[in-house]
Amino acid sequence: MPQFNWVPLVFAVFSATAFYFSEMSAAFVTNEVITRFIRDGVMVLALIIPINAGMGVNFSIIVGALCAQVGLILAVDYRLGAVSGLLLISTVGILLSIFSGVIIGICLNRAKRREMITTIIIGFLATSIYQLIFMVGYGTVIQPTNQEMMLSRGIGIRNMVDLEMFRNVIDTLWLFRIESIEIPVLMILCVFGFALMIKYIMKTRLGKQFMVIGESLEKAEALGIHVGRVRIKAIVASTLIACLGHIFYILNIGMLDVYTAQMNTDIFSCAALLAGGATVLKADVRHAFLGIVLFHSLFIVSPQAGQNVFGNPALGEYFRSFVAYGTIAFALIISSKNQEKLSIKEKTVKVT
Amino acid sequence: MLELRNISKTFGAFHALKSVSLAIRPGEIHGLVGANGSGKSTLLNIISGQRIIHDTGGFRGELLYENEPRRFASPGHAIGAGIGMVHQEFALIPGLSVSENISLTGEKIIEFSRKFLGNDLACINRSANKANASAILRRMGIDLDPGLDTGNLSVSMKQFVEIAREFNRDRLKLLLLDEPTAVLGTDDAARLMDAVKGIAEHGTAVLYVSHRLEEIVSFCDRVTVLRNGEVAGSLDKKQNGIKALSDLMVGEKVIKTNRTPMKASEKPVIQFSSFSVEKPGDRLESLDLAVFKGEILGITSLSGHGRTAIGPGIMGICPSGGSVILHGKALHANHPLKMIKKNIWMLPEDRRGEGLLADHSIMENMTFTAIQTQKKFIRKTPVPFISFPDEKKCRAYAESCIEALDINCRSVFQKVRELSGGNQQKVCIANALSMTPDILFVNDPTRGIDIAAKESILGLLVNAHATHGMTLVISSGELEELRRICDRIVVLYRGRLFDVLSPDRNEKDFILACSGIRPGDS
Amino acid sequence: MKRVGVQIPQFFIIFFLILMMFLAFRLEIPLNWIISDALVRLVMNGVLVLSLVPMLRAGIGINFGLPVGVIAGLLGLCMSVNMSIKGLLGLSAGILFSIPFAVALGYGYAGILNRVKGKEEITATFVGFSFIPLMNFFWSTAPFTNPAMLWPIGGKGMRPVIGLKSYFAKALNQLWMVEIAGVRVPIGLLLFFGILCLLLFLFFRTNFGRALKAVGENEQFAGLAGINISRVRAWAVILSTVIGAIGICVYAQSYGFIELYDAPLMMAFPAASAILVGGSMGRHTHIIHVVIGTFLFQTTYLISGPIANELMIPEVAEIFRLMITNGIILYALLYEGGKSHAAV
Repeated sequence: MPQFNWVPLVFAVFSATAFYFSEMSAAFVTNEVITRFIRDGVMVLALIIPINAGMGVNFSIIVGALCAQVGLILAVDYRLGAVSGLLLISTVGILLSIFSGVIIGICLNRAKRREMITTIIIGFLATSIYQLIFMVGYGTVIQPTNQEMMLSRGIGIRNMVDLEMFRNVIDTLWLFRIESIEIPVLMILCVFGFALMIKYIMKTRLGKQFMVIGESLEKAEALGIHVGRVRIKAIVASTLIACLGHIFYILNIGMLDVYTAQMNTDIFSCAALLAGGATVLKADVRHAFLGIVLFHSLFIVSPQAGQNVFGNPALGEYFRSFVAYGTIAFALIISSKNQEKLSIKEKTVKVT
Repeated sequence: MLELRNISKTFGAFHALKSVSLAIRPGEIHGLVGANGSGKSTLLNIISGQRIIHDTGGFRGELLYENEPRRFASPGHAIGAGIGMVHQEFALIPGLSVSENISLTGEKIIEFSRKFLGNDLACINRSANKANASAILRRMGIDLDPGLDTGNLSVSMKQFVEIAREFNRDRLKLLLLDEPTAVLGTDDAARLMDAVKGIAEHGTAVLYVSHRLEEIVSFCDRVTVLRNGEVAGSLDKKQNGIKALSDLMVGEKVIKTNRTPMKASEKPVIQFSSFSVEKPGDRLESLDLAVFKGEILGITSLSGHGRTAIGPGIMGICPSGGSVILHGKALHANHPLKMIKKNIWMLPEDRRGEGLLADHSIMENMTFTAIQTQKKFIRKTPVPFISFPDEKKCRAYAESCIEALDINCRSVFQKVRELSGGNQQKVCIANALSMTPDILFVNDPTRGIDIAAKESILGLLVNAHATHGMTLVISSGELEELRRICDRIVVLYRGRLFDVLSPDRNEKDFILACSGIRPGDS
Repeated sequence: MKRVGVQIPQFFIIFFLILMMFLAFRLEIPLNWIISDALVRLVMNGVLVLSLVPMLRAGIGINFGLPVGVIAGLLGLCMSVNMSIKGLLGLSAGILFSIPFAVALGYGYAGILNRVKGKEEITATFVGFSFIPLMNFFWSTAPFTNPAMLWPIGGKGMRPVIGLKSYFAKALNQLWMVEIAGVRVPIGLLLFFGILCLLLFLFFRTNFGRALKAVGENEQFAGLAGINISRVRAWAVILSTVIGAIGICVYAQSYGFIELYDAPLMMAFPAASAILVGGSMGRHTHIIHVVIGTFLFQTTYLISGPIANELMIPEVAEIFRLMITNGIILYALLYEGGKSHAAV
């Protein structure tokens, strides 16, 4: 039974209140929300499949993001043009994320019932390895072809890499304006395309298998489903989508923050999804869309609101990070309560 | 189709199956009966490739499937080979519709999309699946809309959907049915059997496990009877009858009685009226029963029919309803601590899971509950709230118990994990005795214990009863054991009290009573 | 199971330590400096690591919500500094003030963890994470008056880093400091840690401590034996939180600064890693694991800094530390998971 989830409502009230106090223009907020929607939308969608496969929130989507960054750095390193660069970025990103997805999947198969904490740690570890490669490995073990992106000491890549050749390649196509609101139709359609793809996957055989293992591993085993393999597929799909999503994100910004661009993508995407009314057991595309809008409008307006009400923008910042972490903590607490109820109900059904 | 040759399976020291042979032809409905613990489930697990078999060291003997020796490592392999199994516990997904559940893992897909998307990602042909599902349901004689959500169906409908899913497999060659009618009424059971007959006519072999002897008799072409892990006999359609089957299930045994049943004192210590317990998988419903002071009361039933529920219900571990009167006063069962204070305790059936601290020493296990709840074996300190266990007293008690209960161990400090099942049970009993309870509920005291140790456990219980004068309520599936030590035996059927029998009644009466048949009925 | 078996993490960290010792020797980093500092760092972080023990033994898992205890400790420290209490007295006051906060916060934290049985670790992580920004509100509006703790401009809100030099920095470190063969041995500090370990050891031998261990090992058994499981688990959490609060007090005096705001965010992870290096496996955790683990772990931390500086890439030390920290935690998660999978 779908219970009424009042988390989105709370977010809506918070956002509206903060918007009122922030005294920002509606057009500005709308523009920002659209930008965030394009940048973070796919990332949030990447979380849906593992949740439905009963593995909880996949915090290791950060690994997918890192794969995308590796592709981007390589493209910059070899000074590729827009089209060939995009091709290289997506090839490298896809291959790397499939490979790392399989590894993460194998890890998670060993850590059943503790997937979420494991994915968090995997995310941390992957970030360290990534930093090691690009901060230390470049210039020592790996010789760059493009010296412009290196730090002056000759070891390690600069914090900021300019992606000039990719800027405005795709995000200005089909740009519509309604008064002061810019709507990049193609990009929005792309995000919707990803959403449709996920919807479709959940309707295929594979999607059914995800649902079954999400319901119960024992049942899946009894039905003859190779649980381990399906779980790996779920994580690979998630990592892959995250990688593509992150390519979107960076191309949209036009700059690559080499060491920090991936930071917090996992937390914010997760919080956004949960804000839209998903739980750690069940998530749908509509939760993602609703959540992005609600969560990011709160995100955009809260520092200004903090400034206006308390005279301190930092308070607004604190508030929004509290909201991000708190939403996840809250969802975890709530979900285990629901799970308990569910299991009792199941027990009473079984009369022998 | 399927041939088993000399299948043997051991779990540790326990022999679950001893050289079982069995053959099923295509199109045959083969019945499998046997009392509790006779090895039916183990046999099914072997055929369907359940992991538990693999994880506990596999089995010995040959399994020929379609004339080829096979060993299925996982249910996936067995299903791939065309073996379907219907479980006692439902493997249905509540959020999906009936047709989706029926077609699960065998969905019809649009051929065109498969070519470039592959099997997993191809478009599912929903209308074809729906049509297919309703065709199967119709063939089974069930009037059910395949578009309904499975979660809202009644229990019997769920069972039909479960079976329909197995029917849906393209290459179903062997169908294993594990008590499919346990949750069904008589009408539904008949419909189900008709459907199974229909499928058998198409050449599918069926292995049918049931406790309902009348079903087996009317429905199966051949019946194999298991007794204590061995094939007790195999009967043809013509030969079998309820009496012939129950004769085979019982076998010939000489019952030696350990003690003469005492005359029940007229004083009930504890009285249950419409007492119900919600124990998962083992429900008890509105029990009316009086337990008399100083007696040994046996409770038996098939597994899942409620025999182990009474203890957890009294202790407040499982939710319970109805009323309990202890020594003439109403008792509100809600927490183990309160019950221990009233000198009631229980020994759970799952020793490792609930009865022991496997990584603690024998001594700590024997004294734990008494230290925690009765302040025995304690050394006080001047600081309030801080007290230590008195190692000396604990050790003395543990050593006396090892001596008295004849526990085979190196020292009182040995970890309980390292002991054998029988010795572990003795440690449990020592823990219970340390609290000197007035009433002790014992669940399946000899489960998974080898024969020699069984004897001494039973002896210990009788002994404790005699020396401490405690009232024992023992629930067990081992009829013979109960009949040897009990004063009265309660038989439960489907969670309700079916009959109270005296232990000197014929064993066949017990077996029939467990299956819900009174001697006069057949 | 052996009490101190050499597993892959121990092997790895010892190998790493030897490698770094070798490098340190080559780079002529003085050995007596290393040992002196290693002893200080052992206690500086050891108390925080020790705080994980009660929850691990009660079967709740690694306390990734360590920030909760840390914040209680920070509150106590700030109160002590606000009253300008100096020297050891100031530190003791800080510890004393922080305990009521730790008990209160621990109680609430325990309530949450009791509701999410089976998912304690992930929930604890996010409870810890979300508690930090919540406390940031408090820090930036806190009603403290000592100007040493407030922003110099405006005089409102706490500074992110508060120097303790004129209060109780190194108060415990310097207590009974003895120099033996060029190695400075902080006897007072070590004694403090030793007593704390001993008290915890004795706690586990009391009746209540035994009940706690029983709950960790077999909840069904403990329940049947009449033990109130939620209460026992709550006390384990409270105890962990209180020791965590003491831990940050010791840490801060040793470090010489109180770090507020986002500083405690990631504190749980090195602590968790240290105890795992020591050989802790879920509820099979002994105090000796804390000592060994913290020593090994912190010594590698210690040596990696100067080595990286010598090699001209200062970031590498931090990256390596994070990699070791998270690699060890991941290994433990996978190792335990693999074991339980085989048992099913």
